[in-house]
Amino acid sequence: MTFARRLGMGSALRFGADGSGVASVELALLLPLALLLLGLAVFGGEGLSIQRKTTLAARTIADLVGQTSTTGSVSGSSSATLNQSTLDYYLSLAALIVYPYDASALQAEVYEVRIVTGTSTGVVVWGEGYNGATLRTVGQVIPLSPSIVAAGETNLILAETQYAYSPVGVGEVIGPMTITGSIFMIPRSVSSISVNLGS
Amino acid sequence: MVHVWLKFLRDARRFAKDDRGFAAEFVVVAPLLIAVILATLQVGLVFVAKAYLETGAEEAARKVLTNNAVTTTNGVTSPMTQAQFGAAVCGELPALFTCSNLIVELEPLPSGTTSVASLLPKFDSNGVLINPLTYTAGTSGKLMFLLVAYEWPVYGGVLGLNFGTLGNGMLLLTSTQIFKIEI
Repeated sequence: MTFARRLGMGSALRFGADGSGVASVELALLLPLALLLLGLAVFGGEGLSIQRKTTLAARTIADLVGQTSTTGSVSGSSSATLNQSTLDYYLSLAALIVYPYDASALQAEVYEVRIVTGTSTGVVVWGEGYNGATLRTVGQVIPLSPSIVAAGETNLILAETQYAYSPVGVGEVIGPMTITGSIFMIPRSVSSISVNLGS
Repeated sequence: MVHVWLKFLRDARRFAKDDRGFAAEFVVVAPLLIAVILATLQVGLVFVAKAYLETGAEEAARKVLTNNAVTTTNGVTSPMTQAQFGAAVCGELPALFTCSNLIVELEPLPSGTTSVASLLPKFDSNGVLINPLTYTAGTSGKLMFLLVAYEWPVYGGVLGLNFGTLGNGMLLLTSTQIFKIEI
């Protein structure tokens, strides 16, 4: 006690010995923690929910583009053509899928990737974006999973989505976080799909 | 409401000061902490429900996409009726949901639709559905729109914490799916 007093800790000891206000002090310690937990639950839950919808948007785009088939009676054709306007429309449907989340925060791109024979890489053949998305350049090399290459196709459809998640109170400080979705799909009824630009 | 609460706090504080008792003080501060803890639990439950609804909607969409939203009676295959499809969607959901409250809309996506607004179910100020639920079983090659929604009950806490979005204080959970039926 005297040692502590010599160190000038008298008031601190008196404070510690005073039993009143314990519940208030405990609350002051616990409340920030509880609020932080609540904040994290909202923040994480929203993030996961957006993640699912962002991934679903990519899946939907790739699926719709991948289902492109030859029109008319040209059977056995290995190539189909998709009008650019149809492609743009498919991409814009991503906005419907992320509902109720803000569609303006979503960007989407779809590409055709040609598999480089004998390797686990592919090159971009064409690409189309939505909502100001930055596109990969034509000819860009993309690493592929060997299991996709093993399917024996020549071309793949790649859809990518990005959602700028800006949680209240966090987004303003550190800026939006990007949640991404990405999926490769095999063109269903043809081996390659080309785009009819301008129509 | 706020005045009452503040007055209560003031009185309670005076009481606590007189008594210098832990219990009295706890009575004052506990509601605050309990409210936040309950809110956290509720938020967790809401996101669990959201995830289940999303999964259920995806499964339902797949059923239609693969031409499996059909019933076979006496060897004749016909598309599911609205009630049958609703039951099939509910079958994909856990017991957290009440089947009769499930909102399911299936229709060919009107061509040129760029906003989901016109396709959403509408509610009055009491959270009751205004428009009948659309249901059109699709055919091969059709671009379809599926909406699965649920009015999730949320309870307001002591601090006015409320997560409801509808007129009746319920929170509307939605999942929208777009797909083309396989040929």
